[in-house]
Amino acid sequence: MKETVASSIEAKNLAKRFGSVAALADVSFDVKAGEMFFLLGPSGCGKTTLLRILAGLETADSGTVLINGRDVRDLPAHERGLPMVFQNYALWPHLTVLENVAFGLRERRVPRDEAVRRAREALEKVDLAGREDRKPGQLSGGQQQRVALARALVLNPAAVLLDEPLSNLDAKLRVEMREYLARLHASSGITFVYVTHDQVEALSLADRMAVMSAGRIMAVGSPAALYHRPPNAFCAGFLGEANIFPARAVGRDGAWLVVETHAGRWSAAPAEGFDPPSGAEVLLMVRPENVRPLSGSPAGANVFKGRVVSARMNGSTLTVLVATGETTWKATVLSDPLAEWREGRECGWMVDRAHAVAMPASEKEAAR
Amino acid sequence: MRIPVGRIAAAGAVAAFLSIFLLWPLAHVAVRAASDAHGPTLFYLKGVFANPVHLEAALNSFRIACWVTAMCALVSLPLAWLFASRSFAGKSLLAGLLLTPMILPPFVSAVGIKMVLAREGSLSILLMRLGLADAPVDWLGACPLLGIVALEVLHLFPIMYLNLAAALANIDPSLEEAAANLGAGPWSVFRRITLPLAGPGLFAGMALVFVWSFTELGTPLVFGVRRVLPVLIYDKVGEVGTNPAGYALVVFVLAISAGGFWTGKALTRRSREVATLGRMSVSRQEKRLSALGSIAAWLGVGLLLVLAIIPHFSVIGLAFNRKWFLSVLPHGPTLEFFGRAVDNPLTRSAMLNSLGLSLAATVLDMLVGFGIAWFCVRGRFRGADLLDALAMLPLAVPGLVIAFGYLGCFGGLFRETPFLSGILDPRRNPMFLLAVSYSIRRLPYMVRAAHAGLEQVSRTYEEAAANLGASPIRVIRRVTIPLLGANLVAGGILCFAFSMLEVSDSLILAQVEEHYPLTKAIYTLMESLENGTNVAAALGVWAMAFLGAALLWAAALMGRRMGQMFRA
Repeated sequence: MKETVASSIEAKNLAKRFGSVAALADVSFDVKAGEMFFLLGPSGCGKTTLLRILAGLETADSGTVLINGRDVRDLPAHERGLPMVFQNYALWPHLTVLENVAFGLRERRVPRDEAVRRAREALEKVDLAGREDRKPGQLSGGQQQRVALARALVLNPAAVLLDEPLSNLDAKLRVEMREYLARLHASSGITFVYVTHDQVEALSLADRMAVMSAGRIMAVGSPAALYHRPPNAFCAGFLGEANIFPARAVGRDGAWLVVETHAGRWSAAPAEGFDPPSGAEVLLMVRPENVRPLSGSPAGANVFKGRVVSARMNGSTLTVLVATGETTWKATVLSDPLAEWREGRECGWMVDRAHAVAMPASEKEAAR
Repeated sequence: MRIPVGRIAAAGAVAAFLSIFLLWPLAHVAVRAASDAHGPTLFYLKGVFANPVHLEAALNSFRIACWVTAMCALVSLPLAWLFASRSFAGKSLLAGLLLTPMILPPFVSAVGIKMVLAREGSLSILLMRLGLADAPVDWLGACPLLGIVALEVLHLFPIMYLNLAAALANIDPSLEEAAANLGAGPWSVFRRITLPLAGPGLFAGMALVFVWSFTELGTPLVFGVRRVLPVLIYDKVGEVGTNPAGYALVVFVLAISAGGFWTGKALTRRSREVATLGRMSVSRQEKRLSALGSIAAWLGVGLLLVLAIIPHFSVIGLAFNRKWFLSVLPHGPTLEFFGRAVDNPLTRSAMLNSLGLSLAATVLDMLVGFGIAWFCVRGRFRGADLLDALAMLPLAVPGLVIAFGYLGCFGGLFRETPFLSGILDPRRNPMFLLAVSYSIRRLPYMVRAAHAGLEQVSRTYEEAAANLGASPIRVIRRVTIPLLGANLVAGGILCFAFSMLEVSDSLILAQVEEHYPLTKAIYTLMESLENGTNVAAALGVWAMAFLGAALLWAAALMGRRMGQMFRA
């Protein structure tokens, strides 16, 4: 068996239209060898189209794809060597489980005996030994999913593409499979390009990810970087809950940006590469878990006073809505039997300046 | 962008095949009808209308076609409604039996039914025995067109029924339920909702039946009715090279049948937007008939089936009995004619010819039909729809016209190269062109069958195969064809079966006994030898058994999708 080498995959200025709809507009990113890379976005944002272009199942109107630095624009799907796990698995109903898994090996002219042996091994690895002679229709959803995985991995590929692989599974199985995929990625060492609309899946599994909206890439980065310092309001909102409100840049204080907000003058961390001129409209983003109650009365910068509008129990945390002037803040605080968040309570709140992110106000600037 | 050489070559081959063997003969016929040795002229086309014999024949043919179409619709509508919306004991058995009329070409039925309707035939004798008539009545002589219409209705109504049943099955039941919910009674729902929504199926079936009955050659020939257009054209085959008058008649037939066909299509298009409204939200629930209703259904359908099967029985009667004269039923049982049907050098070569020709036509159809369907559903290139439209053209073009065109186009072609003319010149050897004409005639069914299959097979299966390294041709071989195997086989069986019983091209193109296919042998036998009719009937029974088995097999493979193959 040959040693597997992970591939790097690079997309350069990809564009694709379906009729009058721009499915992709000038999309570029690069996936490093061995990375677990996510394409994350709401349905209809073009992420599946992008994956299909990588696989050669769709041709881009312009732009190109490089695999290990080699331009594969003219390489048809069957010569790309990027096995894919399809959203609906696409297991051929006329072939047995074993034949499904051995298919790619046979296409690569692996002798029948060896193909069967390797397919059996691959099925063992996904815990499906003994099901070789079943037809796909006789398996459960989770089992079909693992056959689809085995069918791709049996080829010892340098990279695999996964199109919403867990979306057809129930919630419990999904969490299990997530762990399984993480282990699989770690043990195989190959590149995974993974499409999903589920931000929890992406945040928990990705080395890096690209957040997409309406055919564009809104941001690329590690889950932690994108979650804590999103470059724009779309990312902030798509990756989790966020308080976002307008502010005005008034100057700089070393690495920090000084902004004028409805609660006075605040210090904020600018989004990466964001350096607005003095007087520019910006957006200030704070995650609810970073809005902290003050025990004393509010004083100094990055504090505000507010009145509790409602408090909803989530279990380990509480979501508290706090009104201050025209604005309502959302704060997530730890459940505490001693703390009482009754409606109408007045209280001071603070936000660490590292947790207040200043980002561009307009979408156009945000997309860069 | 890599150029898909194989794909372009395959599409080119299909386009060339259709151009040479379908478009060229049609163009040839049109040109020859409008010109003679002195150049272009409308003399012969006008001549069609000047000759009172032609006019009478045209009127007769038109009358036959209209009656057959109307009667088929009348019979099929209640039938399709019953089978689509009601369930009762033995329903699937009856549904299967409804296809039996198709297993016998009407011109063979005609041989048998002549014995029933003739002056000294079963019906007259029966009526006299019962004291309902004083003297024998010559039913066929009194109203010669009636026999033709009756036989063709009994033969063709299943095609209309299948079209309608498929259309009814596609109607979202919630549309009918909404009408009932708003206060419409069952009859009102049928008239105001169901019937308009089933319009496309109805018109498509009517279009098919109209063209078929307008150009039916065998039945009038057997009944000795000469004054219909197909027979007039058949009589002109001898002067193909010399007299443009035959071509003019062919163009006339083509114009009327194509006109009838496209009227049906246009009506279909108009109502299509209505029919595709909404996705199925509820699955169709069949209402169970009461005991009384079930009995009524059995009686109604049973009566129709008995009528439809009389011709079959009369043919069987002829085949197994020595005498059928001045008696209600045939007598003198014998297997002699069966032996003669197999022993006779003419019948033996005819059977072998037909088997070989049909096999060749089927293989050709499967290749071309799958190709066209694939280009339309999967190929994603401009011009695929044009190929599809071309492939459907034979539904509007009578076999008669194609055969006539072949005689004109290929007759005397390649005189200098005996090898080529030995293959292509129908006067030297019609076998190649017979196979081609059979396949062209049945191509629409094959395309429809493959089309339906491809649309049901998710494209993802093919993408997954390509993704794992299968080249396009390997994808088709390992995934596409296995997945729609049942459709391809069913389409192939139908092509084969109908090719075995193809009448008009066989009668026109085969001129020497050694080249006769089954149908022409049956026709020749009827006219010739002593007891020839009986031997012809015996041969017909063989054909019937054969086609019946084929249809059952195809229906088993296609299941409920059977109707899709007879779509216009």
